[in-house]
Amino acid sequence: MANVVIDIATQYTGNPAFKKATNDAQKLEKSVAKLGKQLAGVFAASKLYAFGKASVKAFAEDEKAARSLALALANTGNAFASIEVEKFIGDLQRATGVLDDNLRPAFRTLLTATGDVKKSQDGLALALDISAGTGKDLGAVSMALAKAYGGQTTALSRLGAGLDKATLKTGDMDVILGQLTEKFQGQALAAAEGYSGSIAKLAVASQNAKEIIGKDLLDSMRMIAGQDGIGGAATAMESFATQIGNAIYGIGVLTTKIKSLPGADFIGRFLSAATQVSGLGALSKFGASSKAASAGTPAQSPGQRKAIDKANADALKLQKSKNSLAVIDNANTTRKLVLTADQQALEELKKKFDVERIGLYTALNEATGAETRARILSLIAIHDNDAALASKAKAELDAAKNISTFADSAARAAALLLQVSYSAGLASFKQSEINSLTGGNTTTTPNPLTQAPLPMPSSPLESFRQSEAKYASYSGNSGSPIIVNVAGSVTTQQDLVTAITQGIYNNQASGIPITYSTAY
Amino acid sequence: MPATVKGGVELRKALRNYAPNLGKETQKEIANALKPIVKQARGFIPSESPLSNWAREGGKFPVFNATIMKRGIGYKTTPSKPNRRGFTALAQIRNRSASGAIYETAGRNAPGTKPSSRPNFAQAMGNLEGSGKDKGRAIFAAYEKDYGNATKAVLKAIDNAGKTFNATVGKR
Repeated sequence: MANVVIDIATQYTGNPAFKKATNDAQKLEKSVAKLGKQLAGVFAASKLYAFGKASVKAFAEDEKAARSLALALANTGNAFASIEVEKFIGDLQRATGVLDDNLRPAFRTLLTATGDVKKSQDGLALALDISAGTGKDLGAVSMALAKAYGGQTTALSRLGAGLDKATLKTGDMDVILGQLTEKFQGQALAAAEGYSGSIAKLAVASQNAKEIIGKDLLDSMRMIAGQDGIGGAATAMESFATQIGNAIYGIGVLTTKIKSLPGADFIGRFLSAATQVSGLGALSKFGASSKAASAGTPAQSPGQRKAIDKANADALKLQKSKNSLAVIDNANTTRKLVLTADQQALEELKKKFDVERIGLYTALNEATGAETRARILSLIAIHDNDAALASKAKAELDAAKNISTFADSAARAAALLLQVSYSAGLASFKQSEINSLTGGNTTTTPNPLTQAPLPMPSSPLESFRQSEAKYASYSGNSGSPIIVNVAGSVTTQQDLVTAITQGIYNNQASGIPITYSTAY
Repeated sequence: MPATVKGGVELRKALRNYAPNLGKETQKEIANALKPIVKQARGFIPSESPLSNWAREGGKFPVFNATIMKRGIGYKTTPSKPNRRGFTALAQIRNRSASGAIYETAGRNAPGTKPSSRPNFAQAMGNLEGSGKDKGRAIFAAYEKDYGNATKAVLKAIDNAGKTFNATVGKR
């Protein structure tokens, strides 16, 4: 479309090209900054990964060397000196600036050859001096010394230590070591005192730091890996490195720079101060306390920790529910007790107005016989559903039955007694009549027991049988009639039995026990 | 060369928000200032095609149509988008049709600039009016013959609106 226009009045509102250029510049700046951050992150991550890998490797090698040395000590019967040897190597490392990674193999070589810890320590110190003095590798020097201990001095002669052949030919290690000590004594310490020695010491410190960090990295990875162990070490290391970020990277950079920068002492103080001032110190303390706390217990993965927390929360929730239910249960129990008490009161009141119960109690009060009372008491117990009263009533009823049985037995005994006495009296009467008629003096005393066998009670008065003979002799000796005074009229034998029975009842009611002894 | 003002866009927004009646009056005043130019410009459009075959239908070239050309001439009193130099037009006279634009501007560069060009087309439509690059046969010719009265009237309208706004709304 054609755009032919005449602007009558205009206003400068800003050049859009300028605005666009400004916006583009700002965008470019942001993009560059973002790219820089990304590059820095990638660089830091790669450096951190490399440092972490080197640290873990250093720790693994150090641990392997330490295990090998400990095994060598054990094989030579010097396992007890393991701690002392480790301390010796650590001190030697700090004093000479030679890494324990080199000291341990050398010591192990000498220990294998000599089998003696003291000789090995002296030999290692001498080997360090020779190594510092000749510039030879510590491993080669210690191997030469070890061979010399075994009688092979060729390697020792090739060290360039200046030993004469005559001395070497003798094979006397005391002489050889004496010469070597004279020539190289203090070389290692002297080498450690110079600038290069300081650098070496710093390198040792750096390596130790690597080993320490590597150990903690491995422990951390174990913790992160959880039950899977150290299998996913690479992934765990990357994840760990990303999380820790620039902190360890900074340590790595500083540790690396220490090797090449002068004024290492100042840097060491700076690092120490920075450790105390910055959060690194607190982080280190936290890590140390965490390690101490987890020393006795296995590490838990976040998943395990989460599961444990969930289980604890569930247990707490369950316990709370149980407590709530217990509270409700207690309230119900209390309410039930109240209701029971009320029910009991109502029952008591109901009993007071129970006509049947009143009748039973009236009958109980009017009853004279023990058995009757016991029966009425049983009815009351059944009516009241009172188990205690029922058992009591049952006991009384049983007692009453026993008494009744006893009374029957006593009645039988009395009947027997009456019959015996009647027979005796009759016989005596007959005899007196015969005598009066005949004028004779014939006396016959028939044995009533033999003459008239009577049914005897079988139980319970067995003692009555025993006293039967006594009674027979007694009655037989007397020969006189027995006069029995009975209240009321006794016309028949049954009246007599009834009277005797009633008399026994009366005695029983008066508390007189009915036994054979009391009857006589 | 257009006149440049300061705060014209802001004043228009303020008028629309706080004094709409005054804003409408101002717009009318500006329009009244521009209408004579539009009327005169439309009058410059010939009723017949100045070229014999321009009015013939067919082809892609815009056909001469006096009605469309006159309808395409108008004015605008709302702010335009900023141009490449950052200027926003508060009032414009426009010739929007294609054939009107051709009639307006044909021959601005051709006569005398290129020997091989054919000036007959432009010469047939008449001379261009105006100064410098702002030359034309319709709106530019009308604006040239207005002698700046429209511009003065527009500026006066804007100025008066600002003063009135400050005198009324600004004292609140």
